[in-house]
Amino acid sequence: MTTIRSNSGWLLLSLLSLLPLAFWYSIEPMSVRFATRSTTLQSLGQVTGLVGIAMFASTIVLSSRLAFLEDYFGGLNKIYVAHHVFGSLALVLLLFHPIALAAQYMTFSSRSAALLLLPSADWVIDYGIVALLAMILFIVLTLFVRLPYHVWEFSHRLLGPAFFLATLHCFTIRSDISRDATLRTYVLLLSIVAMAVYLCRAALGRWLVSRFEYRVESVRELNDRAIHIKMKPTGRPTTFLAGQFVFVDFHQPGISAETHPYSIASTPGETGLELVVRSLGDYTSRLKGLRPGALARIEGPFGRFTYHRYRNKDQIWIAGGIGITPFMSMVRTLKNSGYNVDMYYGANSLDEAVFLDDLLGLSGNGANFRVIPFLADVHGFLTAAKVEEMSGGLHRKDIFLCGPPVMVRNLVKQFLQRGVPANRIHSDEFALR
Amino acid sequence: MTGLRRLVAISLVVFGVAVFYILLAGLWPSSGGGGGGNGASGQPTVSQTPGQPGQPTQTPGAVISAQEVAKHSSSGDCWIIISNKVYDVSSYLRSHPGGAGAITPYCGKEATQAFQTKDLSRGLDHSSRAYSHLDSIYVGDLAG
Repeated sequence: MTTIRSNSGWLLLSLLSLLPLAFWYSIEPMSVRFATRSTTLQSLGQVTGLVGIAMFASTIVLSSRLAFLEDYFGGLNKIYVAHHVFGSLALVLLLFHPIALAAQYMTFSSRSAALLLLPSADWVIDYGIVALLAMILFIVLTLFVRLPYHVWEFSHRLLGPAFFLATLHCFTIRSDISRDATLRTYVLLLSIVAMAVYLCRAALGRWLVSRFEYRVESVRELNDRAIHIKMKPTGRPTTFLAGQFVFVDFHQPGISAETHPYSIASTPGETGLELVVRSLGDYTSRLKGLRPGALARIEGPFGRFTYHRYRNKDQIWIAGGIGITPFMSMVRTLKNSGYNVDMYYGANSLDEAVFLDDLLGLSGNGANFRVIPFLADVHGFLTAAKVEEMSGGLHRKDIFLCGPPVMVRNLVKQFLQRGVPANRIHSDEFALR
Repeated sequence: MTGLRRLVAISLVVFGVAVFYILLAGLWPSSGGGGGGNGASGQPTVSQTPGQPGQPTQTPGAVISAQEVAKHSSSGDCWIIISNKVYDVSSYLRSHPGGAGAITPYCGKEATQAFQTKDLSRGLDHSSRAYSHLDSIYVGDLAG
């Protein structure tokens, strides 16, 4: 997978978000748009509104888990990074949109400026006020408040109706959009695509989103913080590549049907699915009560964290704790593949190093596969310097990391500082919020 | 992600402070309805009561003849007449959502019907917010 292709999604969405500026530029000369302080403030208000709504539309599309977008961003986890970036930038721009316009009104009337910001009988402005307040509320809840997951998920979905109100404001207010057919058509198309994608998932997802039904076969505790779940399909099974992940919701009384992502531990080609779940919060702790026979709905697979997509046959895999899960799937497909892998398995203690015995048994699995356990209470923390020393260098090697976010971020930083190009470092970091 | 959070937090604070300042400046009783601009003629504009939909209300000002209004007939110095009251729209022209061109044909002239129908055949009146804006640019009453 080329670096250019896996970053082209960012470029395309940035262009789509900035294109309204080109149409806006062509409507009136810049010498008029920026002739006075008043016109300059008005122009700033217009520009922030146009780019803001375009980025808001992009954010909605990025939240929809469209599998075909993965190739253009380098995986679903990267799509969610783009979603966070575009969503935050959209909010920042839309915050300055009414401020710039009110500042323009202040050049002739401070009372008019104040009235612009307050709800009134003028529905056209009110749509915009309500949309912006909703956007502020739901993004603050995402970035700064730690809500229970199902509460946060519900509140975050309400950004769809907020976007709808924002588009009502765009198309009912007298502005460059109402005056110029090309700009109006473009913004309308962006809005229709975003709303359609949102409705397909949020309102019609039950019928339109492809899911697979599985039944839990066994649940085994690996230690006091991790469980191993085996499932069998009730109908058509999903097909996946080693290293990918799926979204799963379990259905059993006493366990809420929240959807969460889990890396697949089983081998491609098997009809069953194996997951390893770590108790991180309320929901995952309750999964210890999952019983054989419970129903599970699977969406996916997703992810580009797959070793054979990258050209270098010499690779370094680094797992921290439960981050071993995708590697378990990958290591079972290494036999006779021609890949040479040094696998560093980091854990705080031996108790946390689940699957270590399985990995040691798979060493020399028809491939050059070496397992190097790295227990914090014995060896200290793993560093890029130690990896470089033990693996005989980092040159022309692809590096895969999966584990606690702090561990991954620190190691990525260290590898970059040691001159490893960013396009040879791959992580499975995932953050829905 | 930390940098993004910081950017959003700073933007929210700036937004909050700006909104607070604008509301305070515009709604504080002693500031009246006038604000940063006084119109090209230099006439002070003051509003003591909020506008009712369809009925701009202002403190009575100077009495101005139609001949005097007609002298202010360019886009840089534009007075219009609405419901026998004179308004200086010079500094407002660029802010007009319908564009400056919708107003400039009426500079120095009677504009009541155009204002109350948005100069359109289907006869749409301006919003209550627009009537409130008139309060801020009132110059005086038309003589006669």
